[in-house]
Amino acid sequence: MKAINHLKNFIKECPLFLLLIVSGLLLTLAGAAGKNSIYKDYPYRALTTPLLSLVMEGIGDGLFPLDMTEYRELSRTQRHSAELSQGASDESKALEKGETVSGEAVSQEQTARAEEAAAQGSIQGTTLDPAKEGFPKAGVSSEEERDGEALISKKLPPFTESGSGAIIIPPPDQAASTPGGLPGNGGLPLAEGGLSETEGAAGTDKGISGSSTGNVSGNSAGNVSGNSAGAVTESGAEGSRDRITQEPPSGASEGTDSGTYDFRTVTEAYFDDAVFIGDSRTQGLLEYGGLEERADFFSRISLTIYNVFTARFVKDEETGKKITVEEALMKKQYGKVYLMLGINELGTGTTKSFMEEYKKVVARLRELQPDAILFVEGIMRVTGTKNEEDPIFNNTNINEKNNEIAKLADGKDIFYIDVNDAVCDEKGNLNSEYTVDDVHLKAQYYSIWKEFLLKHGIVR
Amino acid sequence: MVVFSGIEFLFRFLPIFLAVYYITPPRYRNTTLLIGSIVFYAAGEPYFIVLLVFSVWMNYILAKRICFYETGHRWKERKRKDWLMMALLIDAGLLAVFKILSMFFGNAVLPLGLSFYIFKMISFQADIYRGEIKEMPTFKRTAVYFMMFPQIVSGPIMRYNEGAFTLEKRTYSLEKLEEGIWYFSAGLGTKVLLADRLSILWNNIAAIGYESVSTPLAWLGAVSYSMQLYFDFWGYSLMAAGLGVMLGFPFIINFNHPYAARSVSEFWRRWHITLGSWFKDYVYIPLGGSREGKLKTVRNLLIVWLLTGIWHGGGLNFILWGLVLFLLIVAEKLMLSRWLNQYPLLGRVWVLFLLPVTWMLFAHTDLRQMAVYLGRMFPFAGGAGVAVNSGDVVKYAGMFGGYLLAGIVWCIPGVFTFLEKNRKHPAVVLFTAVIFWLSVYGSVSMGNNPFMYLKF
Repeated sequence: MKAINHLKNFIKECPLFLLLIVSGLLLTLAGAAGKNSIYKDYPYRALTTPLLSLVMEGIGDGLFPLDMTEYRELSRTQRHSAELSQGASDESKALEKGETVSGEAVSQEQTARAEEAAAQGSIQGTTLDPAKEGFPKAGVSSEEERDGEALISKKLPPFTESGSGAIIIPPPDQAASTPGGLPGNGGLPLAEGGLSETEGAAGTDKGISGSSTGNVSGNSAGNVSGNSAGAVTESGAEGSRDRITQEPPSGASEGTDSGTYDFRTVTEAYFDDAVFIGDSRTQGLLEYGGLEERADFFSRISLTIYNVFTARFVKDEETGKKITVEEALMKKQYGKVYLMLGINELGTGTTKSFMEEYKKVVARLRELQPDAILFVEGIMRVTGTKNEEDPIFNNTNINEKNNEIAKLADGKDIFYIDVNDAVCDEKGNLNSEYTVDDVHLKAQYYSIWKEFLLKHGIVR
Repeated sequence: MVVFSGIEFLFRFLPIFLAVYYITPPRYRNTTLLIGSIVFYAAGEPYFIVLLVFSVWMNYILAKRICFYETGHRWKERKRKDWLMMALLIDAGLLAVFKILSMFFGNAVLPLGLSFYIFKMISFQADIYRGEIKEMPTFKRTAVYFMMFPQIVSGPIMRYNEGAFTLEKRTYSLEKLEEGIWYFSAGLGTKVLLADRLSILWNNIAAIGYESVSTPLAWLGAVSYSMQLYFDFWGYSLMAAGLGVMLGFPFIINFNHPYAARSVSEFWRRWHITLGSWFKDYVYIPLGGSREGKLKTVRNLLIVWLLTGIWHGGGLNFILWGLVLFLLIVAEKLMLSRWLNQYPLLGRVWVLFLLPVTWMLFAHTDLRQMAVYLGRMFPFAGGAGVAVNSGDVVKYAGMFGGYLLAGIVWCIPGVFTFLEKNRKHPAVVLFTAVIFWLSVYGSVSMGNNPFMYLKF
């Protein structure tokens, strides 16, 4: 009786305290329940991180406790579809229907990986890397591809809904030539596939036969050939290219030396038909580079290679609504596309996973802007102090990615430019006089970047 | 762990400590508080805890010496004074040594909370000497006063007499517990949801480079910084005072809606009150205050404001800042107060215009940068911009307008007092809980996730 009175008193006197305790406990329970499922990728140390902070972090990534139910659904569906596809792979190597690419050669191991990937996708939304894990994005038409993205961000299993029928399965001999020991690699480098295809397409425009795969396809020749056929359907409207892209890539590599272009100095009018895509650094170029009258800028703080096409932030001049970069690029054709992304992603994934996504983005850009000169820009470095102090945002990590980005250049319609040549000191760190926060150029120094761009024009 | 808005403090240290504190029988709660405070400080400063414990012990010994000699006899008076001087020299010397070291090696060499606990120690010695503390406290109580974790990091500089260190004086009730939690939550929201957000604007302006900031943006930045500083410190003070109340201590007022002041002098009577009253009681009044003629008053004010400047930091800019405040306050005292009192609106404009400008002296330790920033605020005085984007203010007003508006509302005294008065109303309880969890969310995403913090 006494205890009850105490409790009554407590409820009466301390409503806020009680409310905080109850809500705190509920959040803790949610964190405990999801610790091993939806929150399993978050670091948890019992001593310093309370369980409820997992829930908070999850909410920060757009993942709410209620999603746990969907997570369970998701894993069940995946297991189901994995079983299905495994059965299929037992039956025959070349699938008739192409219903699930992951079915091409699914091992138990990969099933696990795919599940994990899906879980990751459900947590981090767009950071999911479907190609790597064998999701059937290769042959999906662009419309469906975006649907696929949307599905992923809705945390639904991406396997079953998308990809049906859109894939042209490569002939068995080509599939067999897939390099790398990993099983199920047949569906792997969608990006390369798409890229080489479009490069080939660009090759047609210029009358050069064969695609200039160069470095891009060098590390995955087999896949390129494997997927190029499938990828053709992506640009189905431009049917004339089919013939070229279906040529074996062995012929393509011979064409790399001919017809390349060199950088030359241009005037500001050069940017009249240019678009710049990037994160806060490119945003700074927009605000302080003095190009805002000439070029378009699709730039936003914290934009990454993973959300560059999904984030809605480009203002549609006709309707005033916010649209995605992809939609904006469908509306207008540019002569030059500049791309600088990568610093925000330094803490996410590996250089390999980053480059897979990067190549996909480049391929899509090529597809959307077939006639544009594509400038892939090296990620601007940070200062020496930051370089030494920061375990993630340092120049070692940046250079590693830049080296890979540079390999995308083909000297014909994709060019690598590195503004670090202009803004870094002799040690290769961002000149500390040019910045206050060790990362961004001060407003008055964006002109250096502009001058650099003016000296690195390509005229075809 | 030493940051009140941090997750470790909120969900590890605080609940465990509160539970242990209230389970402990009241007679032993000072011991619990002392142990908790040592754990708290050691978590933040594993090495300087030695310095803290040493100076606590030293001050206790010296205070006992002062107490040993009764008043009345002249030789005893002299002895008392000698011991007091010794204590003051050691305390002030310690502070001075570390302040000078920090000028050369940066703030990393400054022990956590040194400026605050040394000021507590000085006030303690002076109060013992003056007999304001009637009886020499036990070592445990002295140590609790100096070290209590709610106040060790950044004050408030409570006086020994203000705190209920003798156990009979301390009162516990559910009502007080609830009251403390309300103040704590209000402070948490002020710090995390306003100060931390506005600080991003200030960082953005720095990243642009002051040369390229448009004049409207420079003013927006100055106003935003003025609020950020206020919310940061007021928020902290509310949390600290709230923690004190939860533990049975009285609420210590450190800020009294300073931006509602109608003169700069009034502003400083409402801003960081415990520091201002410390300077008044232990420097200004002992020097003679304002009772010995205009000239001496001005001299005393000059000393107080120079010391205030130096106390805030070692840089030249802080001395400059103190000097400017001194000039403004003297000007008010000698000439302007009549008009400012007569026309309240004039007083408000005067305060709201001048204070952001004085904060710009406070904010910039680099004098050249300070000059550039002030030049951008007053471009007619020769602060030509480089590569200025005249539309920048629109962008940042859009990005931070919500926080700035909320900040302006939160500066209005009536808003806070209304909520304070009605804190038991269900709507206010719910609102406070929402603020609390939003702050926790903000704190998690700022602290635990470097990628949220470092967005490029």
